[in-house]
Amino acid sequence: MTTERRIGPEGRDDDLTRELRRLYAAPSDDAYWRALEARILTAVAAQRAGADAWWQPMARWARPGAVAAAIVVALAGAAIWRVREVREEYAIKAAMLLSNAPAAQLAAAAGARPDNDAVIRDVLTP
Amino acid sequence: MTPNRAPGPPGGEAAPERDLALAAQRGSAEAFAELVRRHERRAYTVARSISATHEDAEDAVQEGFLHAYQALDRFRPDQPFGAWLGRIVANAALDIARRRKVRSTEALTEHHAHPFRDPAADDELRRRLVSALDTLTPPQRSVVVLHDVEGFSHAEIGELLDMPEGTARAHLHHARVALRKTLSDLRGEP
Repeated sequence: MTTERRIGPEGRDDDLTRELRRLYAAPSDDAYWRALEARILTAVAAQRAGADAWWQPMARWARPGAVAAAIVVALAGAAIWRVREVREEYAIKAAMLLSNAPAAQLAAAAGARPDNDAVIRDVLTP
Repeated sequence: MTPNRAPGPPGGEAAPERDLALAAQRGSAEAFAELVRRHERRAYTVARSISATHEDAEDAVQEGFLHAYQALDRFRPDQPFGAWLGRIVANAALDIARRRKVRSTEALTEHHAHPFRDPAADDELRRRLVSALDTLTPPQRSVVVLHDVEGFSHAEIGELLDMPEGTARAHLHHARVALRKTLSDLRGEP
């Protein structure tokens, strides 16, 4: 078979273009496009349903989770409060101890290492 | 994530595309369906220019619309929805083409030789053309189909396939030369 070469605008080969168009032609049947549309929308709906399904178990746990979080926060607050109370008790006891203690005990109660002079004075004091 | 609310499309068939896109962003399934109806043919055209087969093009169209649905909240309504969708569909088609890369040339030729529409598959020019198309690189084939078959401009092709306009022109030139060369003996040309 021999065909005559015809070059159209912009260097386009008419025979080639015509054959390419036949080869790559999109379906012209409206039923095809309705079916493709339905297929796409079904896939979108399935994806949306899947996303909802993923979220729903999480949503079921939202309320218990919030309650648990509130309990944890309350416990943590109580623990912090108790620690402050204990610290204050210790501070008071330490102050009381300081008011009566000899020099070495004073130094020990203050958390510092007693110096040698204080130890000697303590030993020599009747 | 796209909200699950489903108000109707604004104004139905005659609604401006921007309004449809905005409604779809707000969760209107009907608005998104209308966008699908308006753009599925062009999306197919883009996908078909990249895909080796009609079936792959269909899959790319479906994947493209799915990706577009997922990414609706990132769509800016001041840009054309079709151009945005076209890029997504082109990427979906390229992904599918990459996944299909292991498929044998024989199988590809078989698909090309039996397009879903034309029964005159044993026509000599067509058979030569199918063989010639298989010798092109994927970008060359996409560009020649988008330009010569579908009438896209070089700029549009560049945007769709994420390449400079000049590169699209070069691909078109090389594709035409390769196709003509393959078909030249059929025409008795030297």
